[in-house]
Amino acid sequence: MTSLLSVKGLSSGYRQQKVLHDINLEIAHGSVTAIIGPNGHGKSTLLKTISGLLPSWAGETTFDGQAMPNGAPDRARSGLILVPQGDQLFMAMTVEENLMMGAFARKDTSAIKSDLDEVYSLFPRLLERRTQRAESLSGGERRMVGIGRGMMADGKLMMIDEPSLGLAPLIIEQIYAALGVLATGNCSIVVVEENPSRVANVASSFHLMDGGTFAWTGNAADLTNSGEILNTYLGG
Amino acid sequence: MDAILQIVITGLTLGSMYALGSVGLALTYGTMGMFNMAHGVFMTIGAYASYTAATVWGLPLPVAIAFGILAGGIVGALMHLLVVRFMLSRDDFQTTIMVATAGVAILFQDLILKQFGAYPFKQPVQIEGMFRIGNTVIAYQSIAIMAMAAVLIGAMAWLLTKTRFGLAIRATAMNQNAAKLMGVKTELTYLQVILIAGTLAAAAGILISSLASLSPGMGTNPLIRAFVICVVAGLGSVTGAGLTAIALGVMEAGIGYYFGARYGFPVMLGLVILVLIFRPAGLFGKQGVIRA
Repeated sequence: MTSLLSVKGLSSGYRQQKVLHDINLEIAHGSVTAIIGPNGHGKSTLLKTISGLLPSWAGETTFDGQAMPNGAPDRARSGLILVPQGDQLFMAMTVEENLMMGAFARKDTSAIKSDLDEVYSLFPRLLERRTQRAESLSGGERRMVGIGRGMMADGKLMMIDEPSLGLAPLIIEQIYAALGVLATGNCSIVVVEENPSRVANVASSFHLMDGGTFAWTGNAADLTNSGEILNTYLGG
Repeated sequence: MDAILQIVITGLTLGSMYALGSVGLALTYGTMGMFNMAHGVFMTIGAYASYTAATVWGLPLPVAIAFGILAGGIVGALMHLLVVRFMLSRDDFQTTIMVATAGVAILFQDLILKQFGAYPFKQPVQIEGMFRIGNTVIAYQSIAIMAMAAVLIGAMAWLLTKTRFGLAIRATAMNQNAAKLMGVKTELTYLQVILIAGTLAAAAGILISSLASLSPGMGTNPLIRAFVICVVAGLGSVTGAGLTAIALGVMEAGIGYYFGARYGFPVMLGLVILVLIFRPAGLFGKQGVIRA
């Protein structure tokens, strides 16, 4: 079976500084993949490059059996969705306007409506806050809007960059409960986290990123057996 | 009482021209962080284009106006396609684009100087005559200016707030990367924004030249005024720019009446200094809160 996303020999970086070195990554249909690793080693850079926000320097990427178009807008329209780090909401828009921006490129009005209902049932909090501006929300609520906005795109692959970043433990549990629900859907998911413990129960395939390359790759069983390797990189 | 009515009419006429001249500048700054130094020359181009259409080609007045407005939009679009597009991804875009657009402005100003000469022309695109309310004299031209500004700004407001096209512009203005991730083609959005700004600036230029005259440097003063208005309103606030323009127009008319026209502009500049001291983000601007 062919992969949904196939990345071969990808390199990228900022200005003259190369950050990613020769990355290979296969994402299967309907899978949940976790990319873990210490801060500052290229996890977010990888997601930005795959989403098209950063240009790739070398390598081939195919998505859903086709060569990936250039540029973030066209990639988003082809169903490759990034929920970026720090949410990147439209601050002066309301919660609902933000969610509807997620469906900007879609034309199927009735399906958009039912997807909106789905977001509200997953995050009832957002229904209460739907007419409030994004700038007035708490960190956890912003994260919910960010993920909900990603859901509204009805994509084939959703890449979520550090969903637990900067949140209180209780809120992180809520967010991960929601991701668990999402994982049962049709959309494949890539989650980036610093620490594997959060994603251990959700993901089926794991990549440890260090110094801009994958230092270790394995499935859930490998993860439990490779405690020492992970401790070396992540400091237990 | 008569004096006040006269001041209000004159002020609204000035204000609606200023508004037309500054909302485009605010829109380009707000959407793409670009302070367009060529905005003034868009006004000049609009004025000269409708002058050429009316006087040289002998076209009827409405066609000449439409041609002038269109010319501003086309020059704006060309500037985007030939210059701005290649600079967008630079880190120091906000600074370099000012230098680049200033260069474009100088180029066009000199082209106009070469083609038409430095001699100031009378703008043929205007309506003669006036009427009275009590002792107040109102020129039809003033009414035409206010009507045209209201129609054009109203159309822009409708575009920005009620259409999908406007939604793309607002989203890009708020967060460019997020807009891209939603599938908004931001490069196209930028082109459209500059086109709209060029159109509005050209319209402002036609109106300004109908009250003063045509000269290659006619765009300089309105550009400084538009800049002042945008700073007082808060850079990037489009609604704020419109309202501030009207207020400053009325203020300038009042100062012109009571103290003399030569004090209008200096007082306006003084006001900028005060605003920058006490409300650095402008009257309608928000203090930027940076959050990760």
